[in-house]
Amino acid sequence: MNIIKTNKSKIIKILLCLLIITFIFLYIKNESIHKTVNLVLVSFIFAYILKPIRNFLMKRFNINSNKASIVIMLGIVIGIALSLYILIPKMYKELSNIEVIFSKVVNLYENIEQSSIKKKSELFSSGYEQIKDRISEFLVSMSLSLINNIMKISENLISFAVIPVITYYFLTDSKNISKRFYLLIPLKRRRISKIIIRDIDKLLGSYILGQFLLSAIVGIVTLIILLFFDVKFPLWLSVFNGIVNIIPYFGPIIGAIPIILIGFLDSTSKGIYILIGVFILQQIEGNILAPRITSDSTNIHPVIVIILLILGQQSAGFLGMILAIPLGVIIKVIYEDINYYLF
Amino acid sequence: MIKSKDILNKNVYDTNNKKIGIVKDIFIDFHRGNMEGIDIFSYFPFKKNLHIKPKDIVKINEFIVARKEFNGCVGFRYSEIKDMEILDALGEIKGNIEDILIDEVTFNIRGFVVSPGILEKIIRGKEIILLKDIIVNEDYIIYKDDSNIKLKKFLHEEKVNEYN
Repeated sequence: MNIIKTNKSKIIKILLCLLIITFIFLYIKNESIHKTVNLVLVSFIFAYILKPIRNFLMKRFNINSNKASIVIMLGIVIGIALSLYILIPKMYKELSNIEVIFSKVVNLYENIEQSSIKKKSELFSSGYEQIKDRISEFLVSMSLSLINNIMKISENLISFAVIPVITYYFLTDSKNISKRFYLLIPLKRRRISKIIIRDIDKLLGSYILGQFLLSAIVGIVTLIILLFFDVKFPLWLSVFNGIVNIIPYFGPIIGAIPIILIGFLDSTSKGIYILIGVFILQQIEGNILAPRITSDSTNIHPVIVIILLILGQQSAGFLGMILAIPLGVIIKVIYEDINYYLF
Repeated sequence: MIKSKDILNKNVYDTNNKKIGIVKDIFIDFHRGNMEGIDIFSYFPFKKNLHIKPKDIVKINEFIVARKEFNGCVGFRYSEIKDMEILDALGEIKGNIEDILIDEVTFNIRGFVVSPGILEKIIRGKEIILLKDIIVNEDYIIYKDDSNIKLKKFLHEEKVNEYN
């Protein structure tokens, strides 16, 4: 009995740690807990992304948090419905052209294969076959994982109804929820947790909104360029380019490749024009727009950004690449603040 | 007392509530032992870097408000000394400069924070050295160990009462 009394605080700490470990274990193993926690997490992320807009609306039009959140959610629902209503028929129409493009690509490919390579050398042709296999493997796995993720989300039809509601509640009641959340943290560490979360907020909030704005601008400008040069699939390509642009360094390159390819398929001169246009767009976006829009720059070294992107891609595919940088920012802020206030 | 993190990377506004830029660096005047000015990086790509004299700074809290800017600071930048090695009189390495301590009213430089290393600072803790005890070279800093007094901690204030 004496041992328990003297080490009471230690025992409580150990029990708490065991509790947390069992929760994490349950989260990984049990399907239903996994799904529920994911739902809440996704809604939290959405609410966090929308929070700056809500703050802006509250300040500008002097309305309270309730009304601002309703406005945002309605705006988003209407916006998505409108864009689907307008975009989907057009994109579907464009898809019907895909037969032509595929046959062109296959023709080009067969020409290359038959004419030069097989005749020139055995080594070259076997290397070429291997490269071809690897590239198709990579593309297939990338697209499969992306489709898998989308299918997993749409499997739970409940989530489509629940996520907007939970997001709305996170948006409205964010102050109360954070007050409650702070009560979880032990008293002595509460002040530094507030400081850490404040600093994370500063960096992440502007980063996320800035990336979205940038992607939207890039998507629209790409659309204009493609329509101007009369390239096939303008909507698909500009939407793809806009979405992929969220990734810091690789995004613009990944987005530009299909555009340039399809441009070249039409004619070489058009391809070159498009290459120049896309290049100018990336330069403007990278050097002038990006520093202005993402104002509080996250001071992470580019090498670390690239390493994070690779880690993200290896562990969770496309979604991992998008999430890797914010996670890195959070870890960096936590480390720096603990280092700073450890004194 | 404020540390470098309270000044660097903060937004700077002028008295008309217009944003000037972000603080990129601190200019140090070693001879008088105070901060000579702040180096600001402005958004417009065509404006040159601006400097602000410390007497023009109105307030430093979440952001910095300044009265006017000028362009004429010459001198040592804090980024040049940061992370420099410190050797003591016998040639042994004491640590690296991690931070700078500045008095918030007079902008005198009170001292530097020396850290022995990323992992060791958790075990051993950091140390503070005064400006008058160091000599700055190109690649390293020499610390004249006059007395046997080691400074270890200082008071640091931070106001946090926001809920998000």
